[in-house]
Amino acid sequence: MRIESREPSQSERSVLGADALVIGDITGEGSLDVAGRVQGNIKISGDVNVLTGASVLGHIQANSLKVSGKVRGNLSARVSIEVGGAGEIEGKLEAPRIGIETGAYVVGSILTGPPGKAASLDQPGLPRAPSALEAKAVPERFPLPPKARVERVLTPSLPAVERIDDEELSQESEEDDLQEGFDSSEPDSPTEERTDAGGPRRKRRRRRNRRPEHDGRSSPNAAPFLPKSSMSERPTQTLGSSPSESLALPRIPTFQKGTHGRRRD
Amino acid sequence: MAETVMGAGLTIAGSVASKGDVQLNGRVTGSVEVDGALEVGPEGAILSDVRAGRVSVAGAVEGNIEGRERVDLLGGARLLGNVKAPRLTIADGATFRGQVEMEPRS
Repeated sequence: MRIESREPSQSERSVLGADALVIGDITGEGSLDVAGRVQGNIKISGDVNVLTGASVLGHIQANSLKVSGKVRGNLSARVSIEVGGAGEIEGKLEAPRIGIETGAYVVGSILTGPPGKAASLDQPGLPRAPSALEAKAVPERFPLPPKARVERVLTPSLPAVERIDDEELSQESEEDDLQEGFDSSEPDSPTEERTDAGGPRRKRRRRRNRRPEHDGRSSPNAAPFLPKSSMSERPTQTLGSSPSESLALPRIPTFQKGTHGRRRD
Repeated sequence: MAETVMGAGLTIAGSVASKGDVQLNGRVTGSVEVDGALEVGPEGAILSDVRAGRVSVAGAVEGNIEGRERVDLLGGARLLGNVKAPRLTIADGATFRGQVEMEPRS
């Protein structure tokens, strides 16, 4: 009968053979070479070496780790983790020093630096790194100005377009009214003829020049899809001709006279 | 056949199975099923049933032992359970409490 003195934990090396299967956790002191299969966690004080062909289904926590086999679980080492080229790991790797050889298959997060003090992505105080999911969402970084945005919505729906029109009209007409040198000599017909085609573009142009010359280059009036109604042909060159159109502009006939007048108030 | 050697400082909270030879010097809580030879070291402790081809016990076993070929209880062995084997040896100093069933040799 041999009486074995208790050897220091680091030097006691255990081997799990290639055809061995352990279903359960392995804990304690000593080092371990895994050549077989382990279904359970390994938490030992020494080194763990997962050889090629071995598989561990569970977390491994050891002093230093070498993985050349398959591990599905988190790896945490006090000193280092080395993943060989044949290693396949699905889980977190956490150790002060981590080395991964070319060809290894690693899926998971990698945290180097002392365990526990690793720069966790969720550590308070540090800016949270965007996750892959967040990165995919394209934020609207350049929101368009409200007016332009609405303008781009070229919906055939009458109300929206007309609202824009009214706003433009109201603003411009107010400005125009302020100007004494209001020139209404431009005939209406070219203005009206221009209203239906190319409406939006004209509108944009007009907005840029806040005070466009009153050359009758008019306004894009409303949605180009809308047929010219009888209202649009209303003579607008006369100022104050109609009671509800006291601020009538020479260039921009609106489709709904009532709406236009209402907004003035 | 590959060999499995379990150090004395380890504890396996589960079962161990192998096709080869196994040497257990630590603590095993679950069952042990070995196709080859099983050797339980003096510091080993197995707290469940053991089945192997050849069993050699020098430590503690709390459970039944089934050896398909033979079972040897060495000195210092502490067995609390039944033994089933065609051949059995109990060395001087071994402690054994249980039943013995020796299959007739065919």
